[in-house]
Amino acid sequence: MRCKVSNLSKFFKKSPALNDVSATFEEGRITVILGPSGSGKTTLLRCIAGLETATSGDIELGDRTIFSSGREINVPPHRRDLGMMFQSYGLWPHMSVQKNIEFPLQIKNLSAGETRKKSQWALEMVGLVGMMIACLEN
Amino acid sequence: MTPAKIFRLSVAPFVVLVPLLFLIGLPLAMIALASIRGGEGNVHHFTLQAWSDLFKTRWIWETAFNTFGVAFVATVIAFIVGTPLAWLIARVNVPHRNLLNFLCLSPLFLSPLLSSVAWDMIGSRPTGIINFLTGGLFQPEFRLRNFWGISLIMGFYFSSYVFLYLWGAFRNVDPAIEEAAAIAGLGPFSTFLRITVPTILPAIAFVGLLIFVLALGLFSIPAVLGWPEGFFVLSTRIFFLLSIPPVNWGMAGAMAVLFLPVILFGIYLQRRLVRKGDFTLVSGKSARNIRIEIGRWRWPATAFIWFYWFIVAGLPTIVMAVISMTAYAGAYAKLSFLQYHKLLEYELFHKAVQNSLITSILGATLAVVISLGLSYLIQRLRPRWSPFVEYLVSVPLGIPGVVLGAALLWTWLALPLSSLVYGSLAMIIIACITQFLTTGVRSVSAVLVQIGRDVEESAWVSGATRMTTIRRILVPMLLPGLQSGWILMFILFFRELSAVLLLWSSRTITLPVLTFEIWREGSYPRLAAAGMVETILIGSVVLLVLLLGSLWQVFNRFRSRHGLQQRAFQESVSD
Repeated sequence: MRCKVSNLSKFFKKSPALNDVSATFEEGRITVILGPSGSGKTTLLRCIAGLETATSGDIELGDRTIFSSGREINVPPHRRDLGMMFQSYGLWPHMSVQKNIEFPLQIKNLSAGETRKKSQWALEMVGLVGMMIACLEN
Repeated sequence: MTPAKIFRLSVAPFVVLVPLLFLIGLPLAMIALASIRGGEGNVHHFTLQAWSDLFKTRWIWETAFNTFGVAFVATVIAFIVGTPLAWLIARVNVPHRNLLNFLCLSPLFLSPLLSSVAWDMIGSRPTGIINFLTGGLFQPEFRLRNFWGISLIMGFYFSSYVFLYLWGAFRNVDPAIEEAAAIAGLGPFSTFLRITVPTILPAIAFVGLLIFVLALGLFSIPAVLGWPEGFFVLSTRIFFLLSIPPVNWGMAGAMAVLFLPVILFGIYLQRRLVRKGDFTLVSGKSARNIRIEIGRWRWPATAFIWFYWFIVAGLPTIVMAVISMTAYAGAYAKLSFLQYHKLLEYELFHKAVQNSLITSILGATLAVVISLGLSYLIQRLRPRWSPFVEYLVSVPLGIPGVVLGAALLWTWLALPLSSLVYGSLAMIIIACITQFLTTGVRSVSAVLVQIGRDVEESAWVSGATRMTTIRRILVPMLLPGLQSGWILMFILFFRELSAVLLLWSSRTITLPVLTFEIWREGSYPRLAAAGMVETILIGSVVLLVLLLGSLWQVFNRFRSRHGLQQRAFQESVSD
C-alpha cells in the first residue's frame, strides 16, 4: 500500500518537529529515514500511525485519506490498519510470546485457526517456537 | 465540529467535574455558609455573630497554637525517627532487609485510635506501665496526656510515612553522582550531607508538608490523649462543638473555614513541588543499587530497627491484647476471654462488624474504580481541563475528617431527597471515598505511571480500540498494583473514625465508632477487645485478598500452560 505524506507539519507548542514534510512511500519497497536525534523521524512515524496529531498537512494510505487538517479528517490509530515496531518494542509483558503475536490478529477478528497458523508461521520464521509459552514478565 | 469533539468539549467535563464538585466543593461551600447563617428553623438571615463569638472565646488562640504546635513537633519527630530507617533500608547493606522493611512499614497498619489508647495505658496514669516500671522515678508521674506526649505519639504514627517516601527517594538517587563526588575528593559523610541530602530535598519537603497537613487534621490521637485533660486541637474542638449540647454549627463552621486556607495553601505548595519535576515519586528505571557497607555497625543498625518496631507497633499491640483479656482495668492477675464473650452478646457489635465490612469492601472497590478512571483521565487523556481535576482531587487529603463529616452532614440535611442517603450506609461510603480520594488517585497513578505509553500505543496501532486496550492490556498489567491499592483503601476505610463520627446512626454504626463510644464510656478492657477484633478482621481480609491474588496468578499460569500442552499433544497425535 502506498503512503503519501503532503506538507506535514507538527509543532510542539511553538517549536517545530516537522516542518512542511512531503514524501511518498511506494508499495513493496523498504524506505529508510536517517537523521540525527531530534530531527523528527519518530514524530513522522507517530503522525502516520495516528499517535500524534499533526498541526497541518495530509496523509494518505492507499486511496484513503487518514489525516487531513484542511478537511478535518483524523482516523484514530486503531482504524488505520497499520503495524508499528516501537523503539522500546511496546510488547505486552503480561502475555506470552505467542499471545503477543496473536493479539493484533484476534483484534482483526481472524478465526482461531487462522490466527494460530499465522503466529506459528511467524514463530518458525524467527526460530522462537520453543519459547512461545514463555511469559515476558520474567 | 464533529460529534466526538462536541462530546469532548461539553459532555465529558460535565460528567467528571459535576460529581467531583458535588463531592468536594459543595460540602466546603456549605460549611462556610453554616458559619454565617443565623436564625432558627426556617428563618434565615446572614450574620457574622458566630465569627465574632469565636474570636471572643478564651480558647481560640490556645486551640490554634496547640494545633500548629503539635503538627510541627510531630513532623520533626517523624523525620528524626523515619529518616535513618529509610536510609538504612534503602542504601545500607543490613541483614534480612525484606523482614526489616516489613517491620518499618507495619505501623502503617495500626489504627491511630487503638495505638493512642494503648499508649494512654502505657504512659498516662500512675498505674501506667512506665510509672509502674520506673517506680516513682518521675515525680509526680510520667504523663503522655500533654502537648509533648501527643506530639510524640503523632510523630511515631507519621514516622512510617517518612520511611515510605524517603525510602523511594534514597533509592532513586543515582549512585553515580555519589561516586562522582567521591572521585572529586569528598568523604562519605560530606557526600551524604552535600550530595545525597540536597538531591532528595524536594522529597523531604514533599513528605514534610504532607505530614504537617495530615497532622493538622488528625483526630483520634489528640482526642484520646488530650480531651480528658481539656487539651483541644482543631479537629477535637470542632467535634466538641458539634457533639456536646448546645450544638454550635456557626462556630464549628467558622473554625473549619479559618483553617481551610492554611491547608489548601499546604496542598498548593506540595503540588508545586511535584510539578517542578525535579524529583519523581516513582522512577521507572531501576537504577543500579550499590549498598553501603557499614561492617560491624550492621548489628546496632538492625537492633535499632527492631527497637523502633517494638516501640511503635509491637508494644501497643501486646498491651491491647493483654488488656482485652482483663475483667476490669488493672486486673492483670486473671486473664480470660470474658470481654470477647460480652461483645458477642452485644447486638450493636454485630451490626458494627457487618456495617464495617460492607462499607469498607464496597467502598474500597468503588474507590479503586473511580481512582482508575480519574488517573487515566489525568495521565493519559489529558484534556485541557485536567489540571482543574487534578487540583480538585488533591484537596480532600487536607480536609480534616471531622470537618468533612460536618460538611457532609450539613450538606445532606439541606439537600432535597437527602433522606434516601442520610442515615444509610451510602452516607458512610460517600464520606470515606471523598476523604481518601487523593490517596486512592495517587496510589493508582503511581502504578499507571510505571506502565509505558508504548504498550498502549502498540495495541492501538494493532487495531485495538481504547476500551479494548484498557480491558485487555492496561487492567491485566495493573492488576497487582490495583490489588495493593484496594488493600490500602480497605484498611483506611475500615478504620476511619473522624469522617464518620458525625454521620453514624444506630443502624449505620461502624466498628471504630463503636470502639470510640466504648472509650467515651470509659470501659478500657472492652475497648481493647473491640480493637483486637478490628485488627484481626482487617488482617484476615487483607490476607484473604493476597491469597486470592496469588491463586489467580497460579491459575492463569496453569491455564495457559495446560491449554498449550493439550494442543501440543493433539498436534503430536495428528502428525
